Amino acid sequence: MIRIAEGRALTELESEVASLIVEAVNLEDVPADTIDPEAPLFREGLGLDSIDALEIALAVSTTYGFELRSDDANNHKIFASLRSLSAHIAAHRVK
Amino acid sequence: MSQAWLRQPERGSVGLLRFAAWLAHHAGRNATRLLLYPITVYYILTSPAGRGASRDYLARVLAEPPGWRQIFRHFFCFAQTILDRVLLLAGRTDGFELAVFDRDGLLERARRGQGCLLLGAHLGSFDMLRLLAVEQAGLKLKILMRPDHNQMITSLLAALNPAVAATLQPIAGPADMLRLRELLAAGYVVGLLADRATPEDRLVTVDFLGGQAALPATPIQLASRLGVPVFTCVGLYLGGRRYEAHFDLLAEQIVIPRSAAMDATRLWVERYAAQLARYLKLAPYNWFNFYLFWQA
Repeated sequence: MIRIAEGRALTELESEVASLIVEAVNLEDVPADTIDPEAPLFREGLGLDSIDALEIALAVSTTYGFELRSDDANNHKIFASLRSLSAHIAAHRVK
Repeated sequence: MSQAWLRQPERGSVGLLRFAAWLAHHAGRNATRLLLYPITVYYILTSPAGRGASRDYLARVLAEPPGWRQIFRHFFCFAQTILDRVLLLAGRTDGFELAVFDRDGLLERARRGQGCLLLGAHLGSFDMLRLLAVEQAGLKLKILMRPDHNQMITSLLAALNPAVAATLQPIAGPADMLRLRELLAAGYVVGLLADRATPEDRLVTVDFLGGQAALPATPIQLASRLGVPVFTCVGLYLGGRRYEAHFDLLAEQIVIPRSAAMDATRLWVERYAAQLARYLKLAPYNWFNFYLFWQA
């Protein structure tokens, strides 16, 4: 059967980051593969808050070996969606 | 009713602050103080909600049921601290007496370069803490604030005292949390007022002054994620020109296990509230949350 890629489909890294988010913020009732990669992570989207932002930053630093920094020029975009966070990780990861 | 303050206009503090700034500049503290009487009466008469909240609070902290005299005293205390705040920000600190208690633990950690969190409240004068107890000691200080609700106060503050305005760290989005973490790592003392909840805060209901009140859980949960020492601090107004600043170590490190997160959070928020209660019993007219704080 031909697999048809939907716009919502996650890349390998996005799936990995989705799992990391679910684990970091304890989203027990949200399966990682149901996170819309384009939806906002915070507030009206996935509904994460400032505490969750810290949890995700810690998990990213442990898993990918670099710090999310507040003075990053694109920092408002880092947390915009799963897709943008994943892209930022892809560009900066050291492990 | 924990977010009731958001629905109240800033009128109380901003109008008064602006007027007091103008007046204190032109007339000095004593003359301005006389005008605080009619101003206080005006605010009491035109703010039934604030009056009700004052009565509800005072009934919890005073031995006798509160009457008009106590409510007046409560509002007047608030007006007086606002006037003093303006004077302090304008650099007119002469004549004020400030007794500082238990600041050494904070100073010692700060000098070692260890970032610390200071949990304050809308209780007494945070500016007194900031200007005299902390800045005179040369601490690297930032005060977290939510810019959306405090914009007018911020612009007024900036006009009065740019150096103090520069210590304000706006907290609006998730990326600002990264900034908070960096500040603490760089050895800053970071203060925030931990008694009022915003719509984005997680809430926890705790025992407080014999009743139940919903307080924000966010400050305590932030502290646990950041892993830094946490102090409570209050700047009590004691009448005349006398203030007292108190610093108490709440925890070297707040640990909240995931398995019992809400219970552990509640315990710590309750400890914070217990500290506030302790000081409110010493200086009952220093509580400046003029909205219904306790659950019926």
